[in-house]
Amino acid sequence: MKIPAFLLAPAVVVSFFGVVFAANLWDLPTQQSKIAEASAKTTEINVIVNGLFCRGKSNFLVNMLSQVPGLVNVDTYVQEQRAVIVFDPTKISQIRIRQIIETRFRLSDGRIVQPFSVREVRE
Amino acid sequence: MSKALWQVERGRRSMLFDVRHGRTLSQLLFLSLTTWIAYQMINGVRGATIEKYCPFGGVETLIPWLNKTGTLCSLSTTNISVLAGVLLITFLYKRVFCSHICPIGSLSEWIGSLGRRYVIKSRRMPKKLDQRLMWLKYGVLGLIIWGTVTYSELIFREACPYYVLLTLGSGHGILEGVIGIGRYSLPVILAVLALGLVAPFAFCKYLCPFAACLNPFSRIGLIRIHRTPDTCVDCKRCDEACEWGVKVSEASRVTNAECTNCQNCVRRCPVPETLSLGIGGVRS
Repeated sequence: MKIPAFLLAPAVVVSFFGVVFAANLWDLPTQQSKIAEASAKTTEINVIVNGLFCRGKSNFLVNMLSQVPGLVNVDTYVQEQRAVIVFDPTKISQIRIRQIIETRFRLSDGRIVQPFSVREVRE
Repeated sequence: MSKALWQVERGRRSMLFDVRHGRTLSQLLFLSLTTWIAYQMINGVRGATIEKYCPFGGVETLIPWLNKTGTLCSLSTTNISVLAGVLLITFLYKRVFCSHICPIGSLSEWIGSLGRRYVIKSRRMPKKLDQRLMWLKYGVLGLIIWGTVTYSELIFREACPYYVLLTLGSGHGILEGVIGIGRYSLPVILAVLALGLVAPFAFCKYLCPFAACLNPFSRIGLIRIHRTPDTCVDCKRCDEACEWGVKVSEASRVTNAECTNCQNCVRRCPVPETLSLGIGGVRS
């Protein structure tokens, strides 16, 4: 069966945009970390984190947060530089979580670095 | 040229809409989109990353993801979905990703056209050498998959023309720190693409690992070039028009995996309806 040749380019463009649209619907977290069992009352926040751009940074952030009592779950999305944090508000506050994310570290050569900074928090 | 052929040629040239225009528009659209995203990425706009919709990223992160060790570096499941989609598109339309979508394919083609016009007018790599060099890309693909799985790092990124050109060499990867390749990647890639002036599609044909991934699907691609032997005048213009070395004049259905459905052979054919686009057909 013959097909008009001029239809090929529009068909390819439409197919690729269809693929991109479908791909956006299935975007799993880069990392899913369950830190503790969920208590009766939890709050979920979306935190936009500057500096969260690769899996190594994601590991680092999750390790920082996993040592904090009151945190239940952390999901990271590095392409959006976003972390979804579930926590128990009776044990830890949003301000404290922000402080932990923005922790500064002293390197062996004496320099002080801050790997992450919080750009925005959405409930 | 016979009078009949000359008249046919004139008739084809006067067509208001040439299939080439649709493809060029598609190439310009995707090149503009990726350049715009790269510009945003360089300027630090959150969420703007040229890697997000890179199907080869899906190849690199597929094995770690299947092993449940998570996606690599800045890649995500979106890359795996885009890869699946592009493989499906290749199964339907052969390697149209290379001729209609890939910005590097577009640049290679335009560099090749410049070469044909201003550098060497009739360039043809010796066929045997051409065929042998084409196997290189499978080696490159194997090396990248091995390196990526072994080191859990995107080892190809510093050598990827798409990434390096669009970020103007400002991207940072593991190789930059280890062997200092990062600072040389932009000039090396520009040199490889410039090879296209004398050897058309040098990178795409011989080195592109994604072309190696697409080839098995392209081989069975449903929509392909059909040739009608009864009306063929055996002028071999289709073979000359094909930069990928496909012998269109010897096939009744073009099943060659390297065919990108660019339609150059259809445009160059002097007899209308001898070469056309069709679905399926018997392998030749």
